[in-house]
Amino acid sequence: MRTLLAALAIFLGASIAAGQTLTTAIGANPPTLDPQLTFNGFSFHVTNQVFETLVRVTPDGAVVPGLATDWRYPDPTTLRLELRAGVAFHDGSPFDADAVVASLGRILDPATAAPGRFVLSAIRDVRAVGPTTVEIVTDPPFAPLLSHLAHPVAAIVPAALADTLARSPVGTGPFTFVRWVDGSEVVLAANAAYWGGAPAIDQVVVRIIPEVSTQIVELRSGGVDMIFNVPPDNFLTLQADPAITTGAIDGWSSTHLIFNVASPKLADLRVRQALAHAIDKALITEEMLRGLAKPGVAPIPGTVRYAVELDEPYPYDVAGARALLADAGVSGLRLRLDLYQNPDLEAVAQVLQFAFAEIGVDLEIRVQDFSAYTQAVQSDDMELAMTGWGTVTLDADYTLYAFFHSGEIPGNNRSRWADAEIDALLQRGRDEPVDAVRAEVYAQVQAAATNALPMVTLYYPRFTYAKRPAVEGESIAFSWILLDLRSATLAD
Amino acid sequence: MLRYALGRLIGTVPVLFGVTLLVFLMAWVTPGDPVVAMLGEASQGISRQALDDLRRELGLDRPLPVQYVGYVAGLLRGDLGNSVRSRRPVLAEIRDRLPATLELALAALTIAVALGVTLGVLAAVRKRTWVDGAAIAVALVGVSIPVFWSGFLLMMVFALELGWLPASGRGTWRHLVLPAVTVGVSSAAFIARITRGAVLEALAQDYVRTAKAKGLAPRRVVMRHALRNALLPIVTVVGLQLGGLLGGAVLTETVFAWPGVGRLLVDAIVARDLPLVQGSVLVISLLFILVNLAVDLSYAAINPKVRYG
Amino acid sequence: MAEMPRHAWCRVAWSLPAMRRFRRHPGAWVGSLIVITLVLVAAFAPVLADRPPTQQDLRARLRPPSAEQPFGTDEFGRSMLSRVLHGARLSLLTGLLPVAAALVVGSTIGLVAGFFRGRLDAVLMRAMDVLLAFPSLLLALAVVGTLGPGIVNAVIAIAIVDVPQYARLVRSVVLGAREEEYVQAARALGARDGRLMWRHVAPNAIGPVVVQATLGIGFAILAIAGLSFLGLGVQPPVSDWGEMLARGRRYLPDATWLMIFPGLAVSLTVLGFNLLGDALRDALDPQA
Repeated sequence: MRTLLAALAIFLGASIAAGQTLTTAIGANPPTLDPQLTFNGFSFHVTNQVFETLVRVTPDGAVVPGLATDWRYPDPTTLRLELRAGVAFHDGSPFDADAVVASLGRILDPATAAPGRFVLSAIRDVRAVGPTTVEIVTDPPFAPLLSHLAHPVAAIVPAALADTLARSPVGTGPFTFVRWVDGSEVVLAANAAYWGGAPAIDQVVVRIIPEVSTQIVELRSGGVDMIFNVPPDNFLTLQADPAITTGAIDGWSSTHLIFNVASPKLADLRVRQALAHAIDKALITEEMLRGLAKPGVAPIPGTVRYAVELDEPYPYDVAGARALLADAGVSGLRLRLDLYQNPDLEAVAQVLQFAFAEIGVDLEIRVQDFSAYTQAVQSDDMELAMTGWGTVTLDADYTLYAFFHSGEIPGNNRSRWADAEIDALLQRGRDEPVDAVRAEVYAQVQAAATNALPMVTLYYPRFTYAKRPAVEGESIAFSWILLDLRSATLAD
Repeated sequence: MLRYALGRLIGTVPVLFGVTLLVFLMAWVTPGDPVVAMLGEASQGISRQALDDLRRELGLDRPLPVQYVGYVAGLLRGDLGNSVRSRRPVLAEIRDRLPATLELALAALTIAVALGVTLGVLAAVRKRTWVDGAAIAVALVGVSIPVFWSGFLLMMVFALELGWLPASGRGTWRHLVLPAVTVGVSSAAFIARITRGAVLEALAQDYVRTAKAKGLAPRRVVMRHALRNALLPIVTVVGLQLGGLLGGAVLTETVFAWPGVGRLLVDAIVARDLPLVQGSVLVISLLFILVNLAVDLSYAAINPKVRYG
Repeated sequence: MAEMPRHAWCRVAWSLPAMRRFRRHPGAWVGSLIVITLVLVAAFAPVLADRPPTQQDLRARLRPPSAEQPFGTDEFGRSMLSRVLHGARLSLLTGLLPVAAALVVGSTIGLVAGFFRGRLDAVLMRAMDVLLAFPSLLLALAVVGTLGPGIVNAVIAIAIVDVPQYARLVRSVVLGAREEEYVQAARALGARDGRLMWRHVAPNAIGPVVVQATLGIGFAILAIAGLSFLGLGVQPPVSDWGEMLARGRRYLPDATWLMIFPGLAVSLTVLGFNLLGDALRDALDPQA
């Protein structure tokens, strides 16, 4: 009798769950599904379902076990990780210390030409010290290492399958790869043997739909269950639609207006202050972005480790701005703003153009495609630039070092701000993996940067998504790239 | 005629080389770093050093003329190189997308020819009646409307409001309807205009008037004699349309998320994936040339008076 | 020909057979009307518009058409009516410029190739073949894709696409004309090549070239709109109808007015030029 009931339960369970497919939409065809051969968000959106990293990031920013269950620092340059037992790749090959060594070795090997290698370039050596124990050596000590190991490029891949991963990804994750119809969709199936328990969803279909409005039409007509990065105006309409559930999450993104402080036009702090005062951040975030962004102050959003809350030193004040310009003896100022093609940035640029006109500054906007933009801002005659940014390791070092260390000029430090004290602080933040020290160091850097105005942090965009209410249990940490479907269910 | 065809085919080789040279020349004058373009916004955060290393490892630091020579050498071996972004052979990337483009092209062409030729013939036969006027008007409007505009309108009406058809993507025959109609109707307008002109011209020929004077039934006259002569320009424009469709109806593919070669090319251009751009342009141009050659050869079949040395 | 007073010239021109056919063609009037309206709108846009096209009002964003704002407002709260009216200027320009450039360059190439024949002809026509080996939008894409987006490059791209048409057209006219008796005669009398080309042969080409140009304007406007739609054409804050369509599509399916009015404007404009071109062609070619 009991076996009959059990069989019935299994049968019922199987038939209820049978054929449950979750369909998401992304805006472009992933160039490849090998996480080590790309740095592309569309690739990561898919590879994060098939592969896993040693550690994970939760929606509240904590670093928690992934494929590694425990870790410690025997000395400042060595990170020792205990690996999870009983895990296998989708093709059956075992996940163990050797696999980790081979995987990390592959991404660090120059022959692989991995675009994301720089994320792990602090690593000098990886060695197995037991079947399930691995040691990672950095030299010098690299405090943000754990955060970097949570990045999608650090996913553990079966190095033996290196040649076929790009089109046939094989990992340890909750979903296995079924097929990829190039340009159309990627189909994944639930991994019944997943170490964390098989996902409730049987199949995930990632559809490639370049047009946002097409994605929305599909969501509404039932062709797609979940879409991401919904533009603010569409978001409001979807929010009002009872058949759709929307959500906005504080993410890791920030948008900045960068000043070239070495340029004669902007060298005077008062000029930069005037420009800062001319910007009505609240108007931009409330009206333009429909509340889907928070006005920015510090260079990193609050979700990032060691971010601090600062008071706005340059509130919206047109009269004050004009006064500062007069004070600096500047009139009829003409400036050029460089940016790359991106609808949100272009929109904000036009708002800024209008705003600066109010204080008598003539702003010329130059939009180019991304590589031409990069070349333009790396040349010394750059004046203003606007860029989106994502602190993808959720660690202050990633952004603050890139933006403000003099060694990064003109690559990432586009403001050309060079301050020996700041350099020293940033270096300490990397050398000393002690929480209190790092918190103090980064607090100082943020305060200094916010006051000295190498850039204005305009806002922190919130990450938006829209889904059918039947979808539940999914977890999104800061970005659509880190979509976690292990506990997702599809009511029907 | 075989010799003619062969001669033409051989003649396309220098043209194709000219095509590759053109693409390389344009890439040469382009501002911007291909590695940065390949990575896009994500390249922010990568240090100068890392970018230089990557450029070197991918072989993108060699001067462009050197890259071009290497590329041509590969071409002669039948190797179109590898895409910089995906590391896959370019030929494989294109091969994956070609079926979708062919499907859309053929479906759209069928609609275009059926609609366009019918409309054109009707207009010519009923010249100066309201039928003619209406047909011309419809054709003119069809040619004047931007394809991506009409595409969205159709999508909103049929997919969103009425829910009869899927909004985008490729799958069942129903997915093909909206994109094929969008492109097909626009193409039909072109074909209708040319057809009308060609049939009118054919009808005005002396021998047709003679046939009519002799008392042959008008419809027979039209169908047999006039249409035959009118076929030349009609086939020409159909060939041109097919060529354009094979070029990937990029705008339609974008609107309807149709995974064709046109979209592949645009993405490759934006990512400065030079081998993929080269390869796609080459393949599309080759198809275009072949279609034009087929059109030219068909002239001999249609009109025995046309002879090829 | 003796110098005639201007008004008499006009009367003569008006009564020419071609002109008569043109006058009688129904499409000629509608097309001319549309084109003239367009030119007037472009010229007087600042007067016709209710407010400057760049004036933002972030608190009145994305308002549907109303009595106050007949075309609604865009995502910056700017008047769509004003933007569409002002867009006529740029759209007209981006339609005319590439055609003008292609006309000049292509006709010159065709003239030279057809007149001098020989190796020069072969080389020039081969070059044209290379350009014609691409489907037109593809070539424009490739040019803009490598030169970079922007209105200047888009105009260059479309001009490059159009050049072979004019080259071929003019060349075939020249080939036909140079065999004409009067040309042979002039040559025998010792007329120089340049003068020959210009005075006797070139005028034959004017008709077909004008037709091609008028139809080409419609194509150019659509092509530039298409490039802007793909993000490779006009860049903000510069705005023509194509760019408005490109930006407006993000707000579908809700704020449809952002796409409807610029789309109508493009369609009507292209229709006008096509009608005009058709009428001209029918007028100059009696058989149709």
